[in-house]
Amino acid sequence: MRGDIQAYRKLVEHHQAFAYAVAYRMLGNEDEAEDMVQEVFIKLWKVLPGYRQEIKLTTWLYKIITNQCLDHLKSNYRKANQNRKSVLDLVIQAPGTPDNELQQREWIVQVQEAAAALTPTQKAVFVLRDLQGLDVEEVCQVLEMNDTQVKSNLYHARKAIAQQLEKYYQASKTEML
Amino acid sequence: MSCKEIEQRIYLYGELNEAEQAETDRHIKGCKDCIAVFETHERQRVHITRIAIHTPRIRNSAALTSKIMQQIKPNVTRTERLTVKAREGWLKISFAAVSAALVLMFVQEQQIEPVATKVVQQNGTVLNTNLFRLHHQQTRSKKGTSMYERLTYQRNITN
Repeated sequence: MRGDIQAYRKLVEHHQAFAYAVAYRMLGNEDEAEDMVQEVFIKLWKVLPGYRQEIKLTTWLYKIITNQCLDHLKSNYRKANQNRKSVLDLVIQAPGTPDNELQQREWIVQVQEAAAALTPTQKAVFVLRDLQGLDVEEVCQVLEMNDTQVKSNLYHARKAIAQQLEKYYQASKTEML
Repeated sequence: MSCKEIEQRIYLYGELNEAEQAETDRHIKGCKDCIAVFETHERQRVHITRIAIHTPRIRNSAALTSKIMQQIKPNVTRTERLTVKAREGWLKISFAAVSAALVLMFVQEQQIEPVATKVVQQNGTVLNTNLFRLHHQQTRSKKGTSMYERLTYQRNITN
């Protein structure tokens, strides 16, 4: 039993970073994301005896964390959007010149605004496919959706974000002139 | 194909197969509106790719692990629980059986062999438990074992 707990600690240490990345990208709040990661790993420990080895552990973990985040977003949709600190604030720790960082940050804010308008499912599909880099098949597995549903959500999410970025792009072009 | 359908394909370009991509490319080359949509999508794709490279980091990884592990309790499976229960049950039964066997052995011992003599000396008086046993045996032999013998003995005492 003690060995199990030690092995589980290793699993937590190894996977918590990506679990946090998904939670943070979905929820846009550091505290909420950390709480979610805790919740997910406690839940994972309880359901681990029922783990089927034909499913990849990471896919299974993606499934648990995405569904938990989706439930959270769906039940608290408005609040989640209002309290957003930085939905896709991913570059704070990234190396780069101040100018680049500032420009990058501007883009992030734009993506953040666009993402805030997405439905929870569109956001989940966008985060998993475009930010986490999962392929469509994996997204289907994680969200228990078919190929058409995933592509449809992806199309709407990308279009909404592209339109928001385009507005920003046009405005900065005008400023430069 | 209509421009609306092509627009959808542009946003899902990475998810198309080769034939679909080729068909979309042919349309875009000859359609100004679709070229504009394609450029918009490309700009967005480049920015999202840049954003996606940088993964958000946990403020204090070790602290988060500790918080999680503090709330982890050992998992006991149903089989393990049943095994423990069964083991406890068998233990109880074994104890009961051993106790019963000991009692039986003791009773049997008493019937076959005389009880160990115990002599207690207190204030000059000697108490020999064997004397009580001998007296009891004599009384019993006088009483007899059958109902008739016992009744006869009682009548004799009364008279």
